[in-house]
Amino acid sequence: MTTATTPSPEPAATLASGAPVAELEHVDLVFKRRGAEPFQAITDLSLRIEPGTVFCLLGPNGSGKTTVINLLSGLLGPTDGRVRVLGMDPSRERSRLLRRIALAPQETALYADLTGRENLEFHAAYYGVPRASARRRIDTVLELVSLTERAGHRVGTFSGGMQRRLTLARALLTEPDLLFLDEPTLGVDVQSRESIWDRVRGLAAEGRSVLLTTNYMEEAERLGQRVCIIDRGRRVVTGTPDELKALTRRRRLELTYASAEAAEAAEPLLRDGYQVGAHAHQLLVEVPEDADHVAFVRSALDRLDGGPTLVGFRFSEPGLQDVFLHFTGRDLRD
Amino acid sequence: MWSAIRAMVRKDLTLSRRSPVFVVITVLVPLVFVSLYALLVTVSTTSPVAVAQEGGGPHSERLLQILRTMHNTDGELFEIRTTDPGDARAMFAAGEVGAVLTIPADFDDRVSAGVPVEVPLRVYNINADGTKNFELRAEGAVREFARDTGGGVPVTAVRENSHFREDMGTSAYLGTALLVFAVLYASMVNTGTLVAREWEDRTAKPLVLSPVGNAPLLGGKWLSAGVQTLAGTVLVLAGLAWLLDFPALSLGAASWLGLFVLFAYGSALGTLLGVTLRRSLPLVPLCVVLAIVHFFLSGYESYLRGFAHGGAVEWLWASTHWWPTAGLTQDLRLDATGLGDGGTDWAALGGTAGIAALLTLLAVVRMRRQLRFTQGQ
Repeated sequence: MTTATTPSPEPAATLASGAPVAELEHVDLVFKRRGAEPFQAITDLSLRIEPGTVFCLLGPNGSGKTTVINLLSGLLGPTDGRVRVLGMDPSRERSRLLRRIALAPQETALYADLTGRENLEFHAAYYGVPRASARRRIDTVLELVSLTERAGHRVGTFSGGMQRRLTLARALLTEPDLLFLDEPTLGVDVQSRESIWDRVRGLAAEGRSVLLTTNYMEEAERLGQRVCIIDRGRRVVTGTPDELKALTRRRRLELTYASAEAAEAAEPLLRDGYQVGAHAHQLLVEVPEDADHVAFVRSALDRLDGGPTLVGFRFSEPGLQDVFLHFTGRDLRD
Repeated sequence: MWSAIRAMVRKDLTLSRRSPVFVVITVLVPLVFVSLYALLVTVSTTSPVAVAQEGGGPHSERLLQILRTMHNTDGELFEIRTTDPGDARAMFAAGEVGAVLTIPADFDDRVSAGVPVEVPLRVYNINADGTKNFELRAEGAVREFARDTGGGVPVTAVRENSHFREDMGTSAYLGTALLVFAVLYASMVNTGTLVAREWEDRTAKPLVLSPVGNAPLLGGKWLSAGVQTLAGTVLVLAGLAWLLDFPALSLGAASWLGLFVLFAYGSALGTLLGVTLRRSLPLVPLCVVLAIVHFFLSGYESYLRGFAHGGAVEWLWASTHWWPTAGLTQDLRLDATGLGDGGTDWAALGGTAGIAALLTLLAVVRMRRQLRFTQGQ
């Protein structure tokens, strides 16, 4: 899908200059339930989403990403701290706020026994989209997500990727100023993922603001103008992808073997004196910041001499995975 | 808001049409119940019996004639399968009849001479309604015979307390209770599953995040459930009329108002169950249990009375006198049979509506609390 030739919904409403579209200030959220220990879901979280940007919340499962969306949409109220969205307090002005935001939830929330078009028609009517413009908007958003031809089929027959695209189309029906995309590419094929990414970029280009949650580093790196890494309900670090990567200048030496077994057999040879880990058919060796790269490679290869045959090696630049590891001491996939 | 409610109703009815399992369940269970009771009513009305007619005089023929023609408002009391003594005992032994009544060979002689005579009745030793029916009806036949002949046979006096100013047929008595059962069950299951399935299918979040609030969600569900319940009720009424001769067409405006209030009561219960359980699988059997309890409370008073000698059954029987749906059912019953004075039990109607409102309020509070913990799902 390309964004250059596809029609777009009406432009987003103008926001007050300089004001963030959404803001959390030192927010705590504690779930208390009778007979159970209180659960601190969010701790001292602050973030700020600027107008017309894609803001990514990156974190592992259970880190609190969806909870942040629920706070911003007024579904949850903070235990402590302040939440403002489009200049409103979501807890007090929920109904007014909900007219200007939209959510594409993680679980798609589509009716499998309705067709794609019927799902959109229901949503448009339920959200009060005027009947006169509903049909036009439905046609537009279906075209935006390249589902016009399948619109008459039941959603139960759609692939996971098509369902995600339809969820995105549904969220766009109300032409929101701020869009929440909760893990929009979870479990979709590469083609659908690229299509969704194109559409998200298009939204930002139209001046809409997007909060996107993900646990895919590549998604955050490619879409996020700002990325906030979140873990166990706490903000780890926030910045542009480049700023975050600059925080850790750690490079890695990737040694590639023919098989995972070969990589595993070679690993003990480097264990003494190197920070090394095996990942599939590769050994990943941390390169100290002050190391002479040539000497480092030569020394490592000397150690591996006599072990399984090495297929190749290369240095890799740090990614958000490394940033997460750097700040939490854990792998994002853990 | 009306546009949202209309959208919800259109969506739910389309989904129910395309995936009708729950709608079928709401019709099937009451229909099976109706069929079961149609069978029971027939059995309790007309008892198949064998008569061993050992003598052949005019007195024994007269007693036989009385047995043949005894009837109540539901129909004949006895279906005499045979009068041959050998066949009669063989049929009883084979279980083809529930009782055998013997008219002894010296019956005519003794009656003519004014000497008391025994008319033995053999029944299966089971403490069931059928057994009691045989005993009571045989006694009745002997009493009637004794009256005809001007004495000579001992008569057992039977005293009866009437609940109605006229005897009411079992079909109308139970038929009304079955109708109440059907409306309550259908409204509970329809509303409950329509609500629960939004959470079960994980489609609730966009609904609770709609700027129109929660009212169209519940209002839409009630209207959709109302359409489905009305369709189910019409089918059950047709079944009642066909199988039990229930006077379905006699129901007046007050009865339909009562049925509407019962629908609201059932829907409120269903909504509360739906938002609490958020699963249709446990919801359906719970609705069955609740509907049966209400069936006992609302339509089984005369049957419960026989067992109400203490404990939970007595409490249950006593509650039929004050639980509002029982009064509402009684109104329906009197309207259907034309035995009432045309008045409406406004206390029962208001009480049922009041409980429905309270249950709905509880459901809304419960839903709001749940949303916080489930974050919309």
